[in-house]
Amino acid sequence: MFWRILLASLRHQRARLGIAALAMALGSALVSGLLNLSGDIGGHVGRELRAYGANIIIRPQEQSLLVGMGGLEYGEVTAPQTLAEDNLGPIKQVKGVVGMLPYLYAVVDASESQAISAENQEEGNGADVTIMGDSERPVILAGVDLSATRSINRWWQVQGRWPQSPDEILIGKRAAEMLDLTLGKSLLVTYGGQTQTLRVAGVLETGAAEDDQLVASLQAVQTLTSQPGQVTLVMVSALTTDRSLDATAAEVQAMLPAAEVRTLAQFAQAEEQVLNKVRLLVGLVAALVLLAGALTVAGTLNTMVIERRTEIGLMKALGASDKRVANLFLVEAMSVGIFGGLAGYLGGLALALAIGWRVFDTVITPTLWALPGTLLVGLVVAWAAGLLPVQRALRIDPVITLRGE
Amino acid sequence: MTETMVRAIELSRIYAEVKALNGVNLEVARGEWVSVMGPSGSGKTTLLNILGGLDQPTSGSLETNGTEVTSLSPKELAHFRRETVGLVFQQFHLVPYLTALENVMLAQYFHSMADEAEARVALEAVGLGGRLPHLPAQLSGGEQQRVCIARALINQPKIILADEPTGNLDAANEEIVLDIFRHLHVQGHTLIVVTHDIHVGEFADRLITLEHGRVLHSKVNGLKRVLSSAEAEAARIPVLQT
Repeated sequence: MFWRILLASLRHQRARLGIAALAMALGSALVSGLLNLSGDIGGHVGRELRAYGANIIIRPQEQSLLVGMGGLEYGEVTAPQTLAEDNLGPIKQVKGVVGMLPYLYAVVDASESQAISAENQEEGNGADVTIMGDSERPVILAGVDLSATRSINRWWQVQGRWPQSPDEILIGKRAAEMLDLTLGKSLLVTYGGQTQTLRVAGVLETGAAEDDQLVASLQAVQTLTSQPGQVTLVMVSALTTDRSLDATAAEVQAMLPAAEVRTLAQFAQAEEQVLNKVRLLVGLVAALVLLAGALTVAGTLNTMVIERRTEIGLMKALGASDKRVANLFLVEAMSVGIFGGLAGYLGGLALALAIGWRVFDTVITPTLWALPGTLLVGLVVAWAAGLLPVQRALRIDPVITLRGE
Repeated sequence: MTETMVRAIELSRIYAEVKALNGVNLEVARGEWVSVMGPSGSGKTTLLNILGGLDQPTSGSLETNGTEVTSLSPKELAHFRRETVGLVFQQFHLVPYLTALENVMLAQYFHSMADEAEARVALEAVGLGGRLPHLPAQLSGGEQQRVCIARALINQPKIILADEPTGNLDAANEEIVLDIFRHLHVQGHTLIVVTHDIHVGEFADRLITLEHGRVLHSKVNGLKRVLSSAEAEAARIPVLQT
């Protein structure tokens, strides 16, 4: 009989309850959207942030030699070190790692023969390197996986095009000015007695160290420097959504005991802050809209209690317990929560899909627990919104209401 | 020996400074039909509310069916109402979105468990077998009052309290309702009916007249014969020609 009364009551007041359910649906849509995105939003925002650079750097451990002659000690000399490319493959399997960019740096001479391998080139910054040799135009040549570099460093501005063959390079804007080179011109580079002619396919502008460098394919630089399969630096891009950067770095370090693995804490902290702020913002908006929905439900139920006071008085006159009267109104409120929550879930799913498509350029996978989560939030909010009107209903005196006052 | 169903002793009900009831003494025997008459503001409805457990007296005692009602808590009073009392209202007070059948089942639901077949029989007993699925708005006043009576009877109450049950009815429907009350009386139900209408009052075993919260008269049978013009005027009821 309870459900019979409830259904008849809901049917009778469908217009008014429909408006309350709509208000709940708006709040629930944001909750649903948030829940549906929450599984992916961190990953998507994290991936977007990953476009702005690596957050883990791998480089060979330095080996120092104490050099001297006779009784004199001249000090420590650091020997150039490289990492074997073959050992890097498993890093891609580490949880959280979304990209990896190996570099091989060399200082080459644009016109003559003197150049040495560069070291201390972490972070891709060659500005601190002291150019050795007697060349007047030494320049840093960076060998990279061009396609990976292009996809990761999407903000790089290239005038011309990206290199498509081993003898093509990108030349940094300032390096081009220094060498007086323009698009399509050729450059003679020399390293350790080996000379190769490279052609400028594009002029690169990043606003960073690359503006002073030449960028060629990794294989071309490995061939030129006679270091096949070797790299001097690996930039790793790892998501911090589900796992701390330190944990990812530790796992990478365990895989490469001969290397030094460092995290770029500033990037990690900035990413975490951005992610947390995005979540906080969406959560706050959802909470505010839910509060507005709850107030609408409470207002609607309050009006209903006032309008139905004779009916409530009658129920009490017939001997209805407070519990049964309260249950009737609370379940009515919760029905609003369920309908609003269900409509909100569907709306939120559509919202999440639209955001995924337009903002992250991907299809969001619906989160399994978004439906029960949204319904639960809708139910709890509607239940809470119904408490005050129900208290009011329970205070109704049948003696007064049944005589029409 | 007649068994007492209701025993009220010195019942008073004071609202602010107004004495709605002022020391009312009343005994109603099981199976008796008592009509309560009197002018507006005489305390009729207040008395009925207290007898029905809807209100509590400021002082005095009330024993109904062996239960001291004045000492009951609100929760116990609700239990008393659903177990002991059947209420019939002048305005019917049917739930507008429930059918005639569901309105009767509502009382069953609050009492214990709804039984559709039993509710159907109750409505058939008041001549509404063909109106079960109709909403109150689709029923005439007389039919609504009969639904109200069926609802009052469905839980087999010990006492039926009716407040102006024919007050909103035309003459034809008034006769139908009174006929139902007569049947209930014959079946042994205890009836206390508040009315302005002397025609309704004359069917009672006993007529009580209230004025200013006190019992002015309590007379057995033969109302038309014993009520004086002055008494009738005091009660603001029409004096019937004999």
